[in-house]
Amino acid sequence: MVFTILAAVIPLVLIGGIIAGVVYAFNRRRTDSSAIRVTAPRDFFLYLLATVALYISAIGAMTVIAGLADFWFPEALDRGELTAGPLRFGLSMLIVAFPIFLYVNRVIHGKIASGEVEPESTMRAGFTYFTLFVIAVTALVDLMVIVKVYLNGELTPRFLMKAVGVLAIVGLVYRYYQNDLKASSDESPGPPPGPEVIV
Amino acid sequence: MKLKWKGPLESRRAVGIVATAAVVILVVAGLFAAGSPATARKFRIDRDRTERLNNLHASLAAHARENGSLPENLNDLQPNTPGGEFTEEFDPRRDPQTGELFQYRRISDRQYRVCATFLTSSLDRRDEGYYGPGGSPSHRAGRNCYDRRLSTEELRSDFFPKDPRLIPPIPEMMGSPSPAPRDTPATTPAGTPSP
Repeated sequence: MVFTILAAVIPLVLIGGIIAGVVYAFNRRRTDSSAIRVTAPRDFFLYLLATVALYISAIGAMTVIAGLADFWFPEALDRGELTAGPLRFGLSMLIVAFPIFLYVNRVIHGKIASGEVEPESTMRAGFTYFTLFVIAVTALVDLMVIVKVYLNGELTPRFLMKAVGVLAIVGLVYRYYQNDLKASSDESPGPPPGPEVIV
Repeated sequence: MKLKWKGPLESRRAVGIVATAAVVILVVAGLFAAGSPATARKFRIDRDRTERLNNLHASLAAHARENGSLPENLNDLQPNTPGGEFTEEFDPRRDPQTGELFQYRRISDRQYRVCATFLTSSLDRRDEGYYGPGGSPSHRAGRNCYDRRLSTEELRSDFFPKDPRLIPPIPEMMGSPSPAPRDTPATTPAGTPSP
């Protein structure tokens, strides 16, 4: 199931990134800034890496929450069918991808602070809005499934923990990008801010 | 884009800190739930042991089919594939961990007792579920003995149940004689190879 999600999400990220890149390339001609032109591919792959690492972290966290829910809320007839395999896979995703996400974001914001990366570029907004879109769809589907399961009378604590876990992660990612948009629109007019921001 | 938010998580930094804390908590809780790699290894060894005990049962059944009775000891047991040989990697007569022969005693022509020492209790098992032919014997950590009996079907044809979960667990020998296990229905057509 995790592989299915990954197989669905990664092409989406790639397509979204390419769209953002194309939009940016068209936009670039008008701005006519040679500094940005040279660094565009670098910025593109930084954003892409951050996005992929974020998605893998989020899916890993959801997988771990689901595994913990299975573990904490055992149900009859589980014995022998439940495995720790998905839980371990989620852990490995979290352990590897989340530090990469933190690091790449640190690099991006370091470059924004030093003026190397334009915080208000179309490319950056493209990635941000693409992620916001994915988040919206995820939350929508999650709520839909909750309603459907509730109507089926299958709303167990285990399921609730999984569903709420997905919502919590999605909410956290949403808050992050919301603040990101706000910060970059606040930052850009004034002088470059000091060395701030870890994440 | 101006978005107003009063309350916690007001800055990107705050979200980052919360997310990092959440990830740390999830990883710690997940590692506790999934068990340590050493524990996982013990479960895998016990799963292999279970698998071998089930294969041993299949080999003993095959031996009994050909010779009319169970072997006196495990050295007399031959592989149940024609011309096959027990290899070092796979020898159902031997414990996968120690490499020693399982403790085996013939009770009658179609009844035997086998003992093995397990590292874990199958009640704690959350490893990849495994069901071998004949079902997973439940085991406690430590020495477990099983009185097993060849069913009429097993003596007649190859015994390979379609759904191993339907097979009742093998009763454990706990000092007193255990009741004979029920004969199990549902066999696949003869000739199905045991894994």
